[in-house]
Parts: sequence; C-alpha cells; structure tokens
Amino acid sequence: MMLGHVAPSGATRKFSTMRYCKIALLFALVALTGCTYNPPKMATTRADGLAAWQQVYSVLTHPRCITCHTATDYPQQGDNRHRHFANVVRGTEGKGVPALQCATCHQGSNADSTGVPGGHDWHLAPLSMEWQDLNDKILSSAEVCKAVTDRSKNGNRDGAALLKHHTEEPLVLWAFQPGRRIDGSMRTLPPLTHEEFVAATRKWIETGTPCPQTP
Amino acid sequence: METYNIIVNGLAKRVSVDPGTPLLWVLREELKMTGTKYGCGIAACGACTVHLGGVATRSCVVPISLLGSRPIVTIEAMADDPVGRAVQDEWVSLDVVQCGYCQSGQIMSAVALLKSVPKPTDKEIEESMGGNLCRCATYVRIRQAIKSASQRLKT
Amino acid sequence: MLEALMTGNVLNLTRRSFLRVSATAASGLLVSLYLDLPSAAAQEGTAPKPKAYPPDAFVQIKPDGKILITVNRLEFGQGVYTSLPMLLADEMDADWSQVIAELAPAADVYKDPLFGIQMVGGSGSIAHSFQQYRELGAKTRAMLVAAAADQWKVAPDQCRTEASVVHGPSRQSAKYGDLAQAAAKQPVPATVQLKDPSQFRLVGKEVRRLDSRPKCDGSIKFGLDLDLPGMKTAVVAHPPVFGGRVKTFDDKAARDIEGIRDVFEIPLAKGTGVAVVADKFWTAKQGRDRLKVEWDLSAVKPADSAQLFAEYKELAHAPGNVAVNRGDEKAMDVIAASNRIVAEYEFPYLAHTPMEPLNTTLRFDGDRAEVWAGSQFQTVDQMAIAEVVGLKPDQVTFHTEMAGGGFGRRAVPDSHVQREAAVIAKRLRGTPVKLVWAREDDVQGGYYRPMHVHRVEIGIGEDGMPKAWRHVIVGQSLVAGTPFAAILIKNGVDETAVEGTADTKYAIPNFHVSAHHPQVNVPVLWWRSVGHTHNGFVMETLVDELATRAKIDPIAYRLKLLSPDAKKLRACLALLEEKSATWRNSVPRNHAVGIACHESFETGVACAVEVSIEDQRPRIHRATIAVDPGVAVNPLAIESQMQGGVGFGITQLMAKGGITLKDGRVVQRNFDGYTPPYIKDVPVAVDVYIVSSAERPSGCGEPPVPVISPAVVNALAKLTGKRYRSLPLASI
Repeated sequence: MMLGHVAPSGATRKFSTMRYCKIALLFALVALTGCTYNPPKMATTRADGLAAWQQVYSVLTHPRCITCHTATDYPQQGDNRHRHFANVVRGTEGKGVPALQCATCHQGSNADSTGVPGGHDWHLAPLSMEWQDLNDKILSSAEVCKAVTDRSKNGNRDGAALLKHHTEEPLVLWAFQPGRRIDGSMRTLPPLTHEEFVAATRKWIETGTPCPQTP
Repeated sequence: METYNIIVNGLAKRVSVDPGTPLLWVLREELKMTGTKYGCGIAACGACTVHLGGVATRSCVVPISLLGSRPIVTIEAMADDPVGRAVQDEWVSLDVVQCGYCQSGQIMSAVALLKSVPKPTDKEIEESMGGNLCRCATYVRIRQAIKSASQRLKT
Repeated sequence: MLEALMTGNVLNLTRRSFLRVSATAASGLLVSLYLDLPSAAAQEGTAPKPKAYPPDAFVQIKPDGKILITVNRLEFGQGVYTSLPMLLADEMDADWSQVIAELAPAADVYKDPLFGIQMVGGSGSIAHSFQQYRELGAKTRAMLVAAAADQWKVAPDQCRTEASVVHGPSRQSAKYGDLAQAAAKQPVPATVQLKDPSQFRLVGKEVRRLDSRPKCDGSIKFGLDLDLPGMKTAVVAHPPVFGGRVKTFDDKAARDIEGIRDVFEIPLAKGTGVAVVADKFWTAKQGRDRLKVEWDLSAVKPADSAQLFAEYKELAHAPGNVAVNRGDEKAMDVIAASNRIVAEYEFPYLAHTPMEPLNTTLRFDGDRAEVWAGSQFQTVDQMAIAEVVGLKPDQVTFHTEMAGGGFGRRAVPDSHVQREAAVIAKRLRGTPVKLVWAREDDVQGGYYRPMHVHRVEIGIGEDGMPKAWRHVIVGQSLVAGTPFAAILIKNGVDETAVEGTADTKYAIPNFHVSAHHPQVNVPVLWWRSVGHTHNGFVMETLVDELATRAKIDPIAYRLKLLSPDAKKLRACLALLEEKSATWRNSVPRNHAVGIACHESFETGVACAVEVSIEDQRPRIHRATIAVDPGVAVNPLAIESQMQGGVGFGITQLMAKGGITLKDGRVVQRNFDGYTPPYIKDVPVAVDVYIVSSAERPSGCGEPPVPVISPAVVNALAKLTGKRYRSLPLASI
C-alpha cells in the first residue's frame, strides 16, 4: 500500500499538529485494516484493482498453473485437468516419491521431441497454495485472493515478493512457454501474456491487493 | 546431428545423434545397450527407467540435449552395485519375473527407492513402484522382494 | 474325415479336437483333422499311432555336462521355459543345476502334439506336452543307460541313474557328458517306463525359473532387442479406420530426416499403409510423424462403440443361433415376473498390450528367408511369410525369440505383423529389417477381445435356485473366416464366444444359450481366457446375485448349484472355504468379501477377495485362491500364474480399461488413455492353494483370469448395494 501526500480539497494551508496527528492516525488505521485508500490524484481505484485481480485470477486458474496448485496428493494434467497418469503423487515436499519424482520425467526445460513439459525444479505448489478443493473444483475468485494474500499461506510473501514471484519464478514463466505435446501441438496458453500478467499483478499490488467480497 | 559426450555406468561415451533423440534410444541403438526397455514412449510404464544424476529417470522422454553432465547408470550396472545386487538376488530368490520385459525398470525403481529409504513401509513401496507397469502382474512378489532386499541390506 | 470337411459338412467334434494346418499348392491353408487324443487313450485301438519324437531334437548333452533342452513353444512369462525342461530332466535323472533351455525354431517336430501346429495358447503347454516331454526324458535316460551298460557289459536294469550319472552294479559310474556320444548311437526305444510320481525329484517341487537372472540384469534379449549387421528398422503408418487404403502420401518432410532410407506403400491384411524404413527406430518414428497421408476410407465401414452397443442390445432381445437347449424352452413362461431377474451386460473391446511392443525381424535372400519373432504361432506365421515372399515354408528359417508377454496377441491367424515385415523385407532384399509396432500402433491397431452384450433372463424357484435360464450373447466371432472356423463354429455359434456359459458346470435346468455374431469392421482376437473373460463375469455375478437373493452363503449356494460331477470346482470351493476361514468372516467394517469360481481349460479356480473402497476405486486387500489343475508340475510356477492371472484380470475393472471407437477411429492412444493395472490396482497379497490331485495336468495360464473381476464386483455389491453389469468400471 502506498502512502502519499494527501491534500484534502478545501483544506486550509495551515495544519495544526492535531490535524496532522488525526490524518496520520487515519493512515495508520487504513494500513492496519488493509483497506485501500486510493489517492484520487492517481488513476487507480479499488475497482481498477479488483479488475486487475480478475486478470491475475484468470491466469492462476488456467490449466497451465492450476494443475500444480492442487489440494490433493496428486498433480493434474492437460486442459481438462485430469489426474496425472502413472500414479504420480505429491510426496512430502511436493517433488514426488523416491522412485517416482517429478524429476523422473520433467527436466529443466521443455522436451518438445517427447512432449514432456519442463522447467527449473519442477514440483507441486505446497498445499497451502491450493486453488482447488479436494474434489478438484476450482476455488472462487474471493477464495483464491484471500489465500494469495494470506502470508501464512503464500510463503510469507508481501506485495513486492508476490510481484517478484510472478515476474521471475521459473515455473511461472514456464506457463507462458509450455512447450509442445507429443502430437506436436502447442500447449494452450494462459489468457494473458507474461508481460500482461506481470502488469496486472503490479496494478493489483499498487492498489493494495483488493479482494472481491462475494465469493 | 550433434555430438554428445556422456557418462554411462562410469564410462565415457561419445554419440552423434539428433538433439531430440531420447536417452532411451541413444542407449539402445547407439550404444547397443538393450537392458533398458521401450514399453510406451510416454513415461507411463517405467520400463525405460535409468538413474540420471542419481535420480530414477524415464529415459524415453528425456532428449539427450537436456542431459547436461549428469552421469547415467543403467540396469547393466546393477550387479556391481550393493543395493542393485541385493535387489536382483531377491528377485531371483522369490522368482519374481514372468516375461521379464518390465523388470529392468522395476529393479531400477526399486533400487532408487532403497537407496533413498532403506526400510520402506508398504505405503512407500506402493507409491514409489506405483508407476511401473507389469502386464504379467508380478506385483505381489515385487512387494515381497523389495521388503526382503531391505532386510538383506540392513545386515 | 477329410472328405467330410471338403464337402463342407459340419463335423460334430469336441473342442479338444485338434487340427493340422498345412500349405496347399494353391497357397491356401488346408485344415485337416485328427481325433481327440488324450494321453490316457493311447491304448485304444481306434486312436492313431502315437507320434514318435526324436530325443535329439529336444535334448543335447554337451561334453562338459551341460544339458540343453529345447522348448517347443514360446516362453512369454508363463514359465514353460522351466516347467517343460523339468519334466524331461526329471525322467532323465539329469543334474538340474546343469540344465539350460532354448526356444525351438519352427519345425514339424516341435508341433503341439494335440493341436498339430507349433503354438502356445489354450493353456495347453503342460497339458499337451506333459507326456511328450516325460517320454523324451525317459528315452534319453534309457539310451544313456544302454550305452553305459554296453561299456560295462552289464544288463541295463542293473544300472541306476541320479544327477547326470549312471551307476553300475559294481560301483562303476559314468557321467552323462561322457556317455553322450555313445548314447546317441543307441536305438531310440519305442516305449519307455515313466516314473511313478513318488520317484519325482523335480516335478511337484517348487523349482525356480531358469530365465530369472538374465531377466534381472539386462542381458536377456527379446525380439525387440535384436541387432543384426546392416539391419534397418521399419514402422508402418496404418489407416485410421480399419481396412482403409492410402490415397496419396507426401514423404518429402520425412525423407529430409537424416537416416530415413525408404518410404513406400504396402498392402496390409486389410487395406494398405505406408512403410518408413530407417537406420534406427527413433528416426523411423520421426519420419512417420512427418508423413502426410491422405486416406481413402470410402470402402470401409467405420465402427462406432456407441452405435454398436445399441445394435447389440437390440439383437440381444431375440434368441440367436442355439448353443445349448436343455430342458423345456417354455419353462420360463410359467414363472411370475416377480421371480425373474432380467440382466443386461456390456463389455468393451480390450487390447492385450503386452509390455514388449510387437516386432518381427526378417531377412529375405531370394531363395531363402530368415525370421526372428516372439511368436505364439510359428507354423501359421511361417506359412504366411513364405506365401508373401514366394517361398515354401521350409525355406523360411524361423527363430523363436523370448517374448515380453503375449496373452494371445502373438497368436494371430492372419499373421498380419509378420506379413507386413515380409512385404518390407522382400523389397529390401538382402537387408534384414526389424518391423516395430510402437505402443500407439498396438493400442490402436485392433485384434481386440471383442465387445459383447449379454441378455440373461433367470426364472427363480421358491428355493432360490434357478428354474429356467435364457441367455443371449452378442459379439463378433473370433474365428469366422479363419481355418479355425471349421472346428470352432457349430450351428452358427462360435464356441469361443459362449465358453464359460454354454459349458457351465452349474446344473441349471431349462437352460437355453444362443449367440449372435455381427460382422464388424474391427479385427478381433483371443485375449487371455477368451470367452471366459465375459462369460465368467456374467455367470459368477448372476449366481452371486441369486445367492444374495436366497440369503444363502455364496460358497454354499455354488456348491448347491454345481452339478455333482463338477469335481474340480467342488474341490476348489472346499479348499477355499478351509483356507480363507481365518479371515473371511472377520473383515473390518467397510470391507467386504467377494466369492467367484470358474472352470476353464479344464482347470478349476475358486477365489475369495477382501475389498474396500478407497479414492472411489476398489482396493483389494487380499485374494485367496484355490486351484485344481490336476497334477501340479511346478507349484511355484502355478502360484505365479494365479497371482499374475488375477492381476491381469483386473484389466477389465480399470476405469480406463476399455477400447472405444468413434466414427471408425480408436479413441485411445497409449497407456494414458487405455490404462492397465498398476501395483495399487491388484490384490496386495495373493495366497494360492493347490488341490492335491493325480489327474493329468491341465493349464494355469488362463484359468485365474475369469474369477477375479466377478469376485471383486461381488464384494463391491455388498458395500454399495449396486450391481455392476457394465465394464469397465468407470465409477463405483
């Protein structure tokens, strides 16, 4: 949340200390409650932030991302997000089990000649970052937003760290260059380009990471 | 065609193949090492399992261009490996194999498990071996043989 | 007999009649017939003269003492590579530690003694070669003893043998290795005395496989592992609808790949395809992926599973060609509807998917050919290859390779894979070519266990036992249009489609079984246990339903319904009851017990499973099996076949355990779409108990397969209250 100078319209130029304190208290309260206070001078509004979030949500819940953000002990595959074949399981660290690790098949980059996607340190997102329920049903925008902004669940990431994650994390980047299937066709891309995704993330963070109220 | 220098069972090998060639076919057709098997080509069956940089790996989906410098170990080296030998001996002792075609992969997976978890539980065995297919369904004896190999190794 | 065949009369022969297949001048296959010849009937005057097998075609004693025994049929997991040599080695009193085995090439002398062709199938290996291999061992022993006796100038019956040594009456001894040359000069005895079972040293014991170590250390060579100097590898692009033809193809992109040698159209068993020949398999496969083929599908009928099921269900409402008509056809009419069960069953196409993809290596040299294949059908395949390349069968040297599974997929009457290889080899004259079917070719390539619909109406008496039973089976005939049709189709009924129902051991009165065999453009084939796969499921789930309805214990009900002379099944059920008593009546809550029993290929099997539901799938905690295969040659091998057979049978229950066609195209491509059982899908533990018997041995490869699916589903029925009549089990 960005704090900036506020010049309430019509205010007298000379502020008493008391008024400064009141304003400072107001800011503090705003910061504590997590509400956004959008300086009217900036073009961003809460509505803009929510719209940006919807864009972010559309990427997070796209098959290229959500197939590894499962609530279960298995990843999913494909645009129809079916359970990953060959009984691949999560394991204690989201990297599979000793003889059937993610790395058993998934290498550091896409293997287009054999149709296996790859990226650095291929693994499942931790269960705290589940964006589906135990029946593989995608969670609502409000539920996912709540989880993503919950630092006890999101790997203790603040806004800047979230932005960095979306900008630099290899497996996030992978979603936008997901490689070819074995039949030669390109995997379906998320609805935004990576640049657009980063921009939407930035806007959402700049507007104070607003979450929709209704599920 | 590109030339790759790879290490297979401790020996340096040089091959010239298309970069997209899976390690499986480099082993089988360039190096004439046919112990590693082709069962499906999409990593669904595990017959092609080798150890790549110490990790159980399905060689049918790993193009040689992604190998890097990681050493490769195949079934042919298991007799000289203490864990490999114990597993093979239990496989023979319990008469695990039937047609035998999947067993290179089963053994490579079992060895990877035991190297990581010397005393695996039933659940750990089932999960680690969960992606290795056997059409003859020798699974019952595979479970038993892994447990007895684990016993054999701990002494 | 032959005349009757040639005039087209249908002969009333039992299933065990065997056939001899030979080539005719007109390049067809002539099927001639020999009478059933159970080994005990050799003394009957009407039986043909027993065949004499030259021991030296089956056993070689090396100077160093190693004993090489030739196995007359393919080893593809079932264990004949060990069990047949056991029979010979035991009678021969060979030192088992010196025995090695090899797979026989195609030759007359290696034909199945009953079926008259070289083959493996019908769970017949031990059953048909039991006597044969014992006699071979006994004759070899007799010749070794005769040679020693000659040398020592003693009478043969003063000598005894043990562990590859002949011992004379005065402490003389000679090793088999040293006697071999002299023994070979001895006349082969016409008859021999076989051991009394009490004298067996190997037979009846748990003997470990001879081929284990090489299968564990990567050194075993399967057909796919073959590498010959100058060899090329070929793959074939098959039409997407069976029987389609190539209209045009563009191979420019394919030929651009380094290592592609040739691309050309070839005839297939039905239709045409495009062969891609390359230096290596990966290259060939890449080349094929880049082919652009335009297919002419105008002349073929596209099969569609949904449409076929609808048609089959329609057909099932009326009786078909009659297989069994016992009792009073009208008995059902007087039974009230409330005392009837009407059940409709659906079964999908099933692929075999043995772990080793299909392959054949062939070299054609003009005046001879050489082939290497893991074939279940050497005689038939050899003839087909000869026909394609324009040679006589005995000009085709046919090596039998160790095979990675078969389950019937490697026994194909039209030898379609061998024919493809032969066509390509003919064009490549002088260069050996390995034809490979990639897994996708295998899953999509047909030769499936056919899809079936059953419609069964049962009229139930007051005692809960069936009083009338009308059973209609709809499914393609496996053998129509093949030389086997003459033996296996009677009154328009393909025996292989009704076995398990028509020949049931249950004493069901007023029993009417009939079949329809639609013609469908999908090639079909026998799948481990053949007709028993679906008939066993129907019978054992319906009998269980009847037992539940009558509130009678499922084992007790079966014992009551079985005919009194169902000796093997009665023995199995009794043994099962005894051996499962420790757990059957005390399974945890949310677990249930399922029972099934079935006799096939003359072997009885009874099974009890303990099942719960985990992750919406059946979890099989254990299976107890009782089997009656007559004399148990190798109990360790029998246990492996029972364990493996039930695991294989689970294929029918897998969520993705069916092949479906849509508009002529097979939907599934590989194991991701057609998914056989993995370790968690089969029983965790399988205990096997063998009924003690002195009857002649019957087979073990197929008999366990039919019991497991109904046993599991019978348990599920107890847990969910549902009846499961449609396979695969997509949901519970």
